[in-house]
Formats: sequence, C-alpha cells, structure tokens
Amino acid sequence: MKRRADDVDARDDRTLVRAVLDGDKAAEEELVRRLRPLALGLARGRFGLDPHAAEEVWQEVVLRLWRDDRRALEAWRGEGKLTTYLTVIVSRLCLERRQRAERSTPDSTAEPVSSEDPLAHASQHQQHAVVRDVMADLSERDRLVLALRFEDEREPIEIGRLLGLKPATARKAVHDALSRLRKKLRTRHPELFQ
Amino acid sequence: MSAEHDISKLVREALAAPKGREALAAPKSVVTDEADRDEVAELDELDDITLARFLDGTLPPHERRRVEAQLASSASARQWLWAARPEPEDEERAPGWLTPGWLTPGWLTTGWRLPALASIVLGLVAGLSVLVIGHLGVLPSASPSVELTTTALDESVFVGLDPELAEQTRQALGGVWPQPRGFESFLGDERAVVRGRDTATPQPLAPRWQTIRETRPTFRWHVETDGVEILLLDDQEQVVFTVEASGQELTYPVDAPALEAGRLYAWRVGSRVDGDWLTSNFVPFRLLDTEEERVLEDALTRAGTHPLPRAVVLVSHGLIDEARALLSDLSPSPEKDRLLETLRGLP
Repeated sequence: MKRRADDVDARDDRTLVRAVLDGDKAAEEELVRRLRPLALGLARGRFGLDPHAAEEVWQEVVLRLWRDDRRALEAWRGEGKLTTYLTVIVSRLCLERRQRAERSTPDSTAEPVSSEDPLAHASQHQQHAVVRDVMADLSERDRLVLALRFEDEREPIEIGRLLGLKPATARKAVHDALSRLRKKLRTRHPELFQ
Repeated sequence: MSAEHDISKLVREALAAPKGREALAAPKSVVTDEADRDEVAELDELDDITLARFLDGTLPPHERRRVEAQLASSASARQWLWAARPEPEDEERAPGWLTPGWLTPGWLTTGWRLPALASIVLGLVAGLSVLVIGHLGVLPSASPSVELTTTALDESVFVGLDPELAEQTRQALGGVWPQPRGFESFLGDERAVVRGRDTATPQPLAPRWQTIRETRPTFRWHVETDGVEILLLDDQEQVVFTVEASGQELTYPVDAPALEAGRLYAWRVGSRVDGDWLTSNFVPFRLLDTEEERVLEDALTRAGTHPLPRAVVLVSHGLIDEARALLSDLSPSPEKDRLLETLRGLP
C-alpha cells in the first residue's frame, strides 16, 4: 500500500530515520525537507554565510549523513534530538570553512614583545604555571567550567546553556570550582597567599 | 598579588598566558601545516554524535567526563561547542540573531544606560500623552476591561494638567500603557549600527523594530544595486521565506508560509556589491496577537476619528509605520510636527 504524505509528515524523527535507513524514498525526501531549512537557517543566521555558501554547507551535510551507506545517520540511533545532531554537524562544517578562510589570510596580530621587567615577568610566569598545574588536578567538570568562564569569557547563563544547567546552578558551579582551586592552591602553595 | 582576593584574575591570566615552550615557539601569526593539523586534530578528537549527545545530556557519566576533559583542554573544541549551542527553551528567549554578544543582563544596568532608557520611555509617554490631551474630543466614559499585559501609566505625566483631560486620556488608553512586547531588550545600539552603515550596505527600512497588524507586510529596503535577496527567519531561527527580488519593496506573497499572530520575526536584505556579498543586520518585527488587536481596536474606537489621537494610540501599541502613514495625510500643524519629531526618534 502506498503511504500517504500525511503519514510521512506525522512520523517522529526516530521513526523517520529508521525508515530512511530501511531504504524508504518518501521518508528520505521528508527528512531532507525537515532538515534543510534548519541547516540553511543556522549557516546563514548563526554563521553569516551567503546563500551560495550555505547551500554548499547543506550539500556537505547531506554527503556526511549519506556517505558510507548512511553510517553517520545510523550513528544517531535515536538518542537525543536529531536537530542537535544536525546543529553539531553544521557548526563543525561552518567552523572548518571559517578556519580555512582565516588560514588563507595572513594574521597581522603578532604577539607584542613584552617590555616588562624580566624578573617580574619570570615570577608571574612561574605563578601562572603553578595555577595551571593545580588546575590540572581539578575534576573535568571544574576545569571545563573555569575554561569557559575565564578563558572563553562566557557568562554563567551561557555556561548553563552549554552544560544543561540553570543560570544559578552554573554560577554556583563557577564559584565552587574557584573555591576548590583556592583550597588546593592554599595547601600546596601557601606562599601565594602571603 | 594576594591570591586570596584575586583568584579569578589569577585564573584568567594563567589561562591566557602562553602554555610552555611549544606556545612560545609557534606564535599566532605563523601558521604552519603542523599547526593546521593540530587544530583539526583537536576537533577530530570529538566526533559529531558524541558532542550532540553531550549537548542533549544523553552521555553516560564516564563518557561525559571524557568529553568535559577534552573540552577543558581545547579552545577550538569549546568554540565548536558554543557554535552548536542549543537555544534556551525554558526562559523568555530572544533568538540568537537578535542577541548580540554585548547584550548581557549586566549591559543594561551598567552606568548611565538604565537611567537613560527610563528617561526616554518616560519622555515618550509624557510627550505623547500631552498630544492626546490636546486633541481628544469627547470620549466614552466606560472603563474598558483590559486583560493584555500592560504597564500602568505613570501618573506623574498628568501632574499640572487639567484633571478632566487627563481622565479622558486614561480612558482612551484604557488607563494603561499597552506594552509592545518583544523589543524591550533591543532598544539602542543595534538600530544605530544599521543606520550608521555606509550606503553600499543594503538596509532594511520597514518593517523593523515595531509591531504590525498585516499578515502580508510590505518589506521595504534601500540598496544601490538592482537585485537583492530577502531572508525572513522566525524566532526559532528557521527560514520562513527567502526570495530574490528587484526594486526597493516587496509585499509578502500569498503563497508564502503564513505569518503567525503574536510571533516575532526578523529579516534581512542581502546583495552582491562589486563582487562582495553584503547583508544588512537582521531587524525584528512582531505581529500583534489577537488579544492585543482587540485592545487596540477598543482604544482606536475610543480615540475617535481625529488622526492625531489615533496615531498616538497606534504608537502606544508599537505600530510606528501605521502611525506615520496616518499622519502623512494630516494638514501641517505644530502638534503634527511634534508627533512626527517623536516618531523620528523611533526606528
């Protein structure tokens, strides 16, 4: 029996992907219809690509999902959201495009040579090494939270979005990670606190 | 430096400092094949499905810790994580295209910005209310039942004014100031950025930063080339409509997906200028929802037929262009000039 278009529309992502993997052409068309606007919207809205470049990214997404007998599509296995998976793929492809473009442009922002007092600089350098050394002993979560907050300068609300935490919880996570770092530093390097 | 009081600063500096000999030996400006391979390798340490499962929270704890370790040690992997970030679901959200990096909760409350914004809003309320007072005729006295989310009229704007006229104004607006929703956070710099662009960059003129009633609005833009591309996104960053067009305006086609009442949209115009693809910023607009439309209709009925009070009511609901159009047919008068001057301060 031929399946009606409405039936195809009504299927959830997991069922749809399963049907695609089983070779259902109507499901394949429906999957493309669902994913293409999201991919183009991301490429253009979030990464500022022009229509031609966004279409190229979409073609790469299709290639990635469909190549090797749809291995990447099969890898999804219905865990989590298909849209998250697509967002991750589009983001990777767009970042790679951006990296390639940046590499082809000479970077004129060379690090300036410091004119600071060499002794003071050495002492500061040592202090930084100590902090990094102690940070390495923190948990993975604490290290990630500190890197996001103090290296990438993300606000707690943004950290929360990345780690699935409420803003208040993310703020507490930063505070707790700093507290644990302080405690370890105080134990191992009391001279820093004098 | 005392680490006791400055642990945040210490961490920030330690993370920003060059990390050993390798970092010193390969300054940023020198890009080698080896450096290229390293960057790709950092991304390749994480595969797409693992990052997706990390973001969805479906990784088992031990795998999650492994991913957290990779992300903690790789700035480019974290850049990827941020690029693939999910949109907030459980909060009053502004879509990504409307949320520039500088727009943090602290931005508005820093220094002069909050008082300045409050002054602008109060000034607008006061100015427009005075115009209503000057021009309203006899109004029905029945107090309307308003269920729309509103802000109370600031009573200070009525100080020193004729009590009867003040009361008529309250009644025309239902005693409240209907708050056009969705744009509160976007007053300010973004508009200036669009205005200040050089003339070669395409500029969306209307609708922008305002509420509209038409489900098939007319998009107007300025561009110095002939062909443009219009891109319309919804508040989920999904492409609603895109079309290549010529000229300086386009009415939303009947066969395009219907725009929904109460939703926020944003659009931009792009064009190829001297071989470069240039696009405007995204500019938002919002369709009135049915409840707001009912309140607006009630207020317009009470405002009578004179264009000035009707224009004030339209402005109070965020329908700026509709108010401008209404005033354009009005004979010159000081009151019209004042209202137009007020509208010129709007997008």
